[in-house]
Amino acid sequence: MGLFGFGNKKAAVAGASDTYELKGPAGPGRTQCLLLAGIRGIELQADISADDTVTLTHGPVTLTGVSAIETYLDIKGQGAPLKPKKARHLGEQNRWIEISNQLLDQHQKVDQIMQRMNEILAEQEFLAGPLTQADPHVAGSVLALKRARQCPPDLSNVEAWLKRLQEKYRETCVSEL
Amino acid sequence: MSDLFDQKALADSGDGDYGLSGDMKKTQYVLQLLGAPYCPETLKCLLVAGEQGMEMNTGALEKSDFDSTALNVVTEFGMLPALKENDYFTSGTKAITEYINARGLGNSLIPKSATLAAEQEFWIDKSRGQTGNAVSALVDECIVSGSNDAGKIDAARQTLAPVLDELNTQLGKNKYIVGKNYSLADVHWTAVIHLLGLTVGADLIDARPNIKNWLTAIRNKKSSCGQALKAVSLLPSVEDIKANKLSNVVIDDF
Repeated sequence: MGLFGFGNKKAAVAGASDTYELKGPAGPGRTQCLLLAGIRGIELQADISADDTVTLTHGPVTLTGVSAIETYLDIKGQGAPLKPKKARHLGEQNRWIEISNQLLDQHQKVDQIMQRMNEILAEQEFLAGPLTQADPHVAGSVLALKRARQCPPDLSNVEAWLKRLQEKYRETCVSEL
Repeated sequence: MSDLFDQKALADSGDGDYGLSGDMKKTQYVLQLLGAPYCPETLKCLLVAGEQGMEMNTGALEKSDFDSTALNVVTEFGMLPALKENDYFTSGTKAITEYINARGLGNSLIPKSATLAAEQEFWIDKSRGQTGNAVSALVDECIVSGSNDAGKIDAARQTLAPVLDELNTQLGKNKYIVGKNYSLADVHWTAVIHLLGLTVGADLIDARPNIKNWLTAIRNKKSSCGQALKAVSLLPSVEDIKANKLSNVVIDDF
């Protein structure tokens, strides 16, 4: 499945009244997009479908894939984007996103990674320092691991971090994560 | 204390001072990259450093390095490629390419428009996963191991054909992959198409005129930071891959 509304000389632009609709399989990708939307103050309608990947529709714009959707929602949300401007924070954000995609979502090195997250989150509120795209993204992977009972127990700082993110999410969204 | 970066990726800078010639030329340290010449992800990092005018020493890892303690010390969880700038370490292509882009001297390679930035991510994703694995398989069969396993080569070609068709169609609409400006999507696909062109899969490019024209334009393009360097000139040849050799990024026209 490709992107629609792209490819013209001028990129497709959604209007203020256009609603955001998310479709896709239950799994980390859907949760990652929902969390990011909630944290960025975007209301979206979410449906679970049998598709292979998540799709976001916003007026004439249709996007497939978690990375594309997260990027779009982050820019379209209220206030400053979660994507940091400082290079080191950006590097940390993206390193955690890669860890999430390449290892946590593949159920590899889960114990080692989550122990490290617990240590980091004892020192700072969020994974890269400030709140970044890495937090909703990795949280989506961790919540999927918890549902699959693959999460190591007794990681109090990770639990507190998840609670902080879910509280931010619930301020604007009602869809079940 | 020296780490794997300093053992592998500091060959030309001697005492480790700023700049490959030992002089401080800019406000940043010389970057150090660990990866491999047959790995498309490593080549993407090399291209961004060239585009953004960031000097970088590279170190090609040997097979014996992959499970070594020394590598685990510098790349938490074993993720590659890995980058060091003075006291800062990061790893993974997304982290490294966007870090260098943010630190670099040229204009950002990431579009500001939400729609184009999302489109860029879509095409970056397409260059990785199955596409990256198929190109790596061809490079392994044709160059690294030289096994030339017909079954593996055919499977890789079948994986690549439909995604190359999509890319060819996309490039029929735009000068670059996500519009009129060069972006990180072009960086990712340049690495993939370059490696593919070194293998028996080169005919897959020749059969798609829009990809072929785009590649010619990329090969003639000077780096985004305005220096004389053509980033694509940093990419390895078949001989470089066989010798496990990666180019350093050297900027000498300040």
